[in-house]
Amino acid sequence: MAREQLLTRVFVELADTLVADFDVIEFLHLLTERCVQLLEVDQAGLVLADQTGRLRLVAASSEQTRLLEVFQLERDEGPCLECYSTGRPVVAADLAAARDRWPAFTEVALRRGFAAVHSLPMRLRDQVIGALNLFQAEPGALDTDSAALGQGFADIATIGLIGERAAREQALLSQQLQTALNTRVLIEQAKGMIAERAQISVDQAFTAMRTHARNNNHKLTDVAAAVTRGDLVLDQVTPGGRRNTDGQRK
Amino acid sequence: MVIKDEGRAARVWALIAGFAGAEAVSVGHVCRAAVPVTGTDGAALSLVTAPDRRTLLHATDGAARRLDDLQFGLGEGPCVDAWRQGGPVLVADLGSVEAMARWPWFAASAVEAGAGALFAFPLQAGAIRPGVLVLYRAQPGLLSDEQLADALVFARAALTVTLDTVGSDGVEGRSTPVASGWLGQDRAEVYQATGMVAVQLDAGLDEALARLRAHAFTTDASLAEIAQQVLDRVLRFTPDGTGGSDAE
Repeated sequence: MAREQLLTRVFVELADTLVADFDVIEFLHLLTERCVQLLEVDQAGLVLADQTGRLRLVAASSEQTRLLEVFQLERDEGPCLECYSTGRPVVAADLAAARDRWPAFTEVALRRGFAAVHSLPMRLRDQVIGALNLFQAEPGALDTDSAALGQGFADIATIGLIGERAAREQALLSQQLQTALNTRVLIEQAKGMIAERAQISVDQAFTAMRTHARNNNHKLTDVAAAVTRGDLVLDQVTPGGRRNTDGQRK
Repeated sequence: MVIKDEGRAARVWALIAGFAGAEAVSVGHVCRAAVPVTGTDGAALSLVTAPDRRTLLHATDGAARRLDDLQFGLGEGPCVDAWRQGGPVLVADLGSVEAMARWPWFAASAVEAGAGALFAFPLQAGAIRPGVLVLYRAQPGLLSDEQLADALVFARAALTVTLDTVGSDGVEGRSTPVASGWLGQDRAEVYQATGMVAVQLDAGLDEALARLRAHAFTTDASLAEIAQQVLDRVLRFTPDGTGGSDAE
């Protein structure tokens, strides 16, 4: 499919998701997946700042540990943190040449197979609430069109996350951000519970939860909440992440 | 609202420790430290298990107590909403048309009780949400960005102290500011491990987190290291054990 057609399709899909009562984490997850497809990068992840200004991952194109580990480091140094601090895009087209700039981050990112990173700010007026990060396995900068499209994705993520009303009201903005960050914690807890019950990895547990949400037309957040309450067990998961029962408690 | 300040949590903990002096830190110290820093007139902290089930742990004055009583008595108000929704609810003017429309019973009573503005912060870590911290002002007015950022850290501190001092049966609690290690280390693997340990113990997530923290404390390891051992499946917890036990 031509890129333009693909772009149209993605735009419609994202707009469709942004209806009343949508699941913000699922929306952001979808957005990062589409970034990977459209911008031809290998991984994408969104970070938001918490109450002390530390960056926390809220959604990623994959929940692979190797990616999460890289984000963990972004709390202390890295393109993402720099982008958040300055409010400007940060491009590291060749991480191997950026060792002096971010020694610890570069070492882990390279070891985990990432050669280039783009970090794009999630801006709201004069504030920066987080950043969209694009990882590539090969060195190289995005072309102008892709970079602009990437920034468009970061802006859509911002609006999708906080909503039109919260964009105008500081109190609501704070509520939306805190709720999104807490939802992420809830999902991690649910991943752990499923991983232990089904004896699978936390990555597979996430896939199981997401698949269950999609198949049953439930919100990912609701599925995670049901898991933590003990209302949903999801212990019948094969290592491939596919369910072989509906996962409901018998 | 998002202010980059790595030292904020440390500063807030130091303030709380100052109020505690030689005593173990309690939620009372958290409330009392929060009031001047956030430019409010009073604070209250309640344990909440359902919108109509709460236990007031501390109120800095009579109005704070009354505001807390009213909300849970009436079953409506910013605290009830904050607990349900999992995010702060900030009301700059309780006498406004919006506030009166949203909480008709509570807003009128709150103004009568002497409150102009009210800010409710849930104590939460994912599905663990043991209570709500509420701050009020006699006069209407928003929290400044700085005050809001501080208030969020106070809510975090209140969560830590609450989990320590009101632990589940059989789990000893320590309420030393040393525990602030967890406050700052909000890492994914800690929450994943919390979920795993809850299943191993067949217990709540709050108890699982308490056990993880206790184990980190007694083995002199960081919570992140202990969490990683659980994720790597080299450390398991058993319901009768006092700490973690190595697998096999």
